[in-house]
Amino acid sequence: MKPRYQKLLRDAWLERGRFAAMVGAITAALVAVGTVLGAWAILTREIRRNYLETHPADATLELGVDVDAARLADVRALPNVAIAEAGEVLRARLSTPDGLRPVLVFVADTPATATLAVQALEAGAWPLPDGSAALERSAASLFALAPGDALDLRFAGGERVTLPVSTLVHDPGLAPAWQERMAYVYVSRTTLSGALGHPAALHDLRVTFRDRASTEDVDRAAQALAASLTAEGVPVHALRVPPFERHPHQRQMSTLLLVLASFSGLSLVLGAIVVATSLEALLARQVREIGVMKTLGATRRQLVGAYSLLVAGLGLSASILAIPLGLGGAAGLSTAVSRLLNFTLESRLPPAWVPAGILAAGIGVPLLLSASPILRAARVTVREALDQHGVAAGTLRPWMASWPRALRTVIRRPGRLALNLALFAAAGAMFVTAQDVSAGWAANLAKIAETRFDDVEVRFAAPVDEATLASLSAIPGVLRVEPWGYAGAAFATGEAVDVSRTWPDRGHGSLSLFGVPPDTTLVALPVTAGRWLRPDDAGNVAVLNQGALVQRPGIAVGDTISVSVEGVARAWTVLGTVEEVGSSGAIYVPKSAFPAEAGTAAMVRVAGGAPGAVEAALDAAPIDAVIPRDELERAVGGHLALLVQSLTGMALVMALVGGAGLASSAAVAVIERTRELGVEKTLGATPAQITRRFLAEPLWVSGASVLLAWGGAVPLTLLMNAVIGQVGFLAPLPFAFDAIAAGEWAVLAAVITVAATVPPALRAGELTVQEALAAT
Amino acid sequence: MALVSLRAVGRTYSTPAGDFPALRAVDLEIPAGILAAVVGKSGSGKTTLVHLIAGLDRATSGEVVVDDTSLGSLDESALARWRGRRIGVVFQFFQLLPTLTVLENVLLPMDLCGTFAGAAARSRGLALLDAVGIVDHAHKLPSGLSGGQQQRAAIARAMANDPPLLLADEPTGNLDTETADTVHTLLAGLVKQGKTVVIVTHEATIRSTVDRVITLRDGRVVDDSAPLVLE
Ligand SMILES: Nc1ncnc2c1ncn2[C@@H]1O[C@H](COP(=O)(O)OP(=O)(O)OP(=O)(O)O)[C@@H](O)[C@H]1O
Ligand SMILES: [Mg+2]
Repeated sequence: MKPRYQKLLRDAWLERGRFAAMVGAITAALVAVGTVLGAWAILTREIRRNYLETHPADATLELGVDVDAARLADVRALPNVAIAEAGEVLRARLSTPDGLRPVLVFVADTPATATLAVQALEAGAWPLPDGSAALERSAASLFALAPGDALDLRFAGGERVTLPVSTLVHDPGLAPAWQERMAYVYVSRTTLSGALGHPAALHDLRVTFRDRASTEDVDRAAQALAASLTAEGVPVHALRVPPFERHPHQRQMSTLLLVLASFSGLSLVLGAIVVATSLEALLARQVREIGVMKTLGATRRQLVGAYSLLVAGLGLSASILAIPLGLGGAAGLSTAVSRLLNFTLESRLPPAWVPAGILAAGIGVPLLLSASPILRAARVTVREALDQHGVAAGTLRPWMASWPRALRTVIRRPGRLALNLALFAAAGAMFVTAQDVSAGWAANLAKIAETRFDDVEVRFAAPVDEATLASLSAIPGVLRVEPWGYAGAAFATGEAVDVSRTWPDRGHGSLSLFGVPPDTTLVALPVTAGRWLRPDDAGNVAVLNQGALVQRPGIAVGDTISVSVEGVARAWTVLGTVEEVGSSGAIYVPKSAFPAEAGTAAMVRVAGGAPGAVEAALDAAPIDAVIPRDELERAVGGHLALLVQSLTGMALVMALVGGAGLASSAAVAVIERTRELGVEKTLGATPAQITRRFLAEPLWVSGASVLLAWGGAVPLTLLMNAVIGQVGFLAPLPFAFDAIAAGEWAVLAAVITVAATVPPALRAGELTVQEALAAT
Repeated sequence: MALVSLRAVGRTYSTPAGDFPALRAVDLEIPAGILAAVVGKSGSGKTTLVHLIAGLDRATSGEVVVDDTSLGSLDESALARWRGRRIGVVFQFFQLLPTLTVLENVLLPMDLCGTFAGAAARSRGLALLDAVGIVDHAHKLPSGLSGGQQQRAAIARAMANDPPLLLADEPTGNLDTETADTVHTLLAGLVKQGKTVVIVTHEATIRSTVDRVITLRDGRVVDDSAPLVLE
């Protein structure tokens, strides 16, 4: 090996502790980057693949008539229509040992031969035998059902149907059952007709078009199709166009992963800064040798090349360690997320650019940040190099003489102090933020109980007679019964048919109109602008929740909006806006102004009494959905765990990087002050005194960083609350400061600091006077 | 033409207290094949002069021509390459790289300048160490050698690329008299082999053995003559 590389390697070996700390810092950061970036790449690829493998319809037109073979033939003959199929989604309730639970029943002519909105076979018979049903796998696990079990279903029309489960399917086009707290069942038209005892009509016309590349293209094609059907006298009630080729949870997932990715990127930059400053200290010690090498004919390029090679080697070792760990982490994180979202990973390997990116970042980022200290060192003149002695007083000022000694020492190196503070504070802020966000989520969940006082909400497929509802008061324990108006709605577009951005589950992206009883005591939603309804409000006035606002951004108090129900558009004046947790789009209007044709008692809210008893008392009514409040809370809550864990993990990575930074600067401090130590020891300082002093300084730094972390957690929490709240609830999470987490961080920071600085501090204590004074 | 030729060379340092002229209008010619001594009080500009000749520093005025090369015309890396091949430098504090063995220290200039490589470099390095009498210590680290041995290693390293000119800045300043004598003998021996050696020194004894004494005072050459040999 060439002598110059030999020298480099031996110098590195002499400083192996510090190099290990640098490699450790970069490795930890790279593992975090690889995990999150890899998971992001795997999951976006797989969620898209899963979703597209279901062949989602571009658009679904809800017709007023049955979509029969003749109608399909007509539609398929249209030039722009690629595929057309009939379908229907019915709401029903499933009896379970815990009571009735909501079900969506997906009906197709023959599910096994359908080409749109298809499911993947998991287990059992396929094609689906007549007289039996398929069950989505996430619903099977939620309700502990398996092939061979019987489904006891109640439809809104009052029909009770028992169907055997013959098959399990996977439908990644839907949000998982455990998240929505409902079951998904698939039957053929023949089976459904047989079970109901009358021919079942399929009202949904599912289509894909030929020339389309965006949601707008689909909108246009679907409007044209609706117009031509209307012209033929076929009533088109609604048009549902979900965002083109996008899974209902894709955007949320991507947003959260990108938030995590930006944090991991930050930790990489901080890790690289640790490398750069450690290297700077190393180069400062090598200045004399650099001068000698220049005397012997070394060019600046050779010196820059050699030290860059050292940094590159360091980055390479970190990358080699980090690539398998990062890929493992990516596989683990994507498996966890895919379970949460009910889709199947075809491969747990990220695309090649992820390991390539880890390698490039692992080598490139430290090189980039070390460039300036390396160039500066290579530029030093021989004269300067040979004249150099010891460490300057730095930024120490005379008036700092009264400060504690540890503080004065720390201040002497302001750059390094700032770096260590920043690293530790960033890690701490992240740690506290993760717990704060979790607390904020819990507080948000608690809002459901603070703003809604009913225990169960029952929605009907058709208006019921108010006397039936009044009888609910007789149920023991029932405190209050409020009949409400309720109808599916859409913002009128001025086009022939109103478009809603709903996926086939009809929940995500939906809009409802509620007729609020004037004397309601069962809701108290926090007002975000304008005001809530008053008992004397009459006429077409409305209050919107944030789920409605997001569908028509820019609506302000005082505006007039046009909302259509059952195809009839009405104008409403906006009185105010409210925030509502765990609800899709809702428009609240006075019951007196509620459209008569939709009926003013299509929903009832009941406070008190067992939800099961309420449901039983309504057995004869056409129940569409029963929503007990505790189920709603369960549906909304619980899905933050993974995010909080990921944020905490990221914080721990930063803490590791910070610890490596501290360890490295503690080692540098010992080296830089070796001569000083020799003098002190000659003057009688004991090893214990010196070790204690070297421990005290980093503890000052970490103490200050804890304060910064607590302060920094506040804006970071607000930011995360905004992002996560937007993704989860379309509104920021309430701010909550988790004092226990703040305390935990203080302890953790102290532990890491002591662990990182004990070895160099002990070494400082053990140095002999001869060794110390001989140091240059 | 002389091996070293300085014409009206000045070197002024700018300091917070104002400009400080360390060398002023120095005219100097050193022919090839002699042993020259540079003497003068501390701060008179000896090191500055040696650094200018070695191309380690640049003149702020005048022209430095060494070995037919005008140093002012070379850029940094050309200067480094030229220096590595044409000049050998020996320092007061030896300046061996502590993490390289003695032999590796000698091989380093050959590696940096790409002059000798592999087995050729090795055998040359061992021969150079043999010539200075420390080949037995070739594979030791510098810290394992005495001061005199380290300085002999430094001389071997200075000769690695067979430069015509060797500059030594107080090479014996850190050595006892006896060891200093052996180092001086070594340097004088190099002159006999046809090298040119310029040595900065305080030692009065050496003046008797040199061909020329250049005396500096306050940055000027105040005397430049053959030594007065007192019989
Ligand atoms: N970088 C510098 N900046 C300012 N002044 C300098 C610098 N280097 C040297 N000097 C000054 O230039 C003058 C000449 O310095 P030089 O080192 O050449 O002296 P010297 O004759 O080698 O002394 P010594 O015998 O002590 O080694 C001195 O007064 C010195 O203080
Ligand atoms: Mg000098």
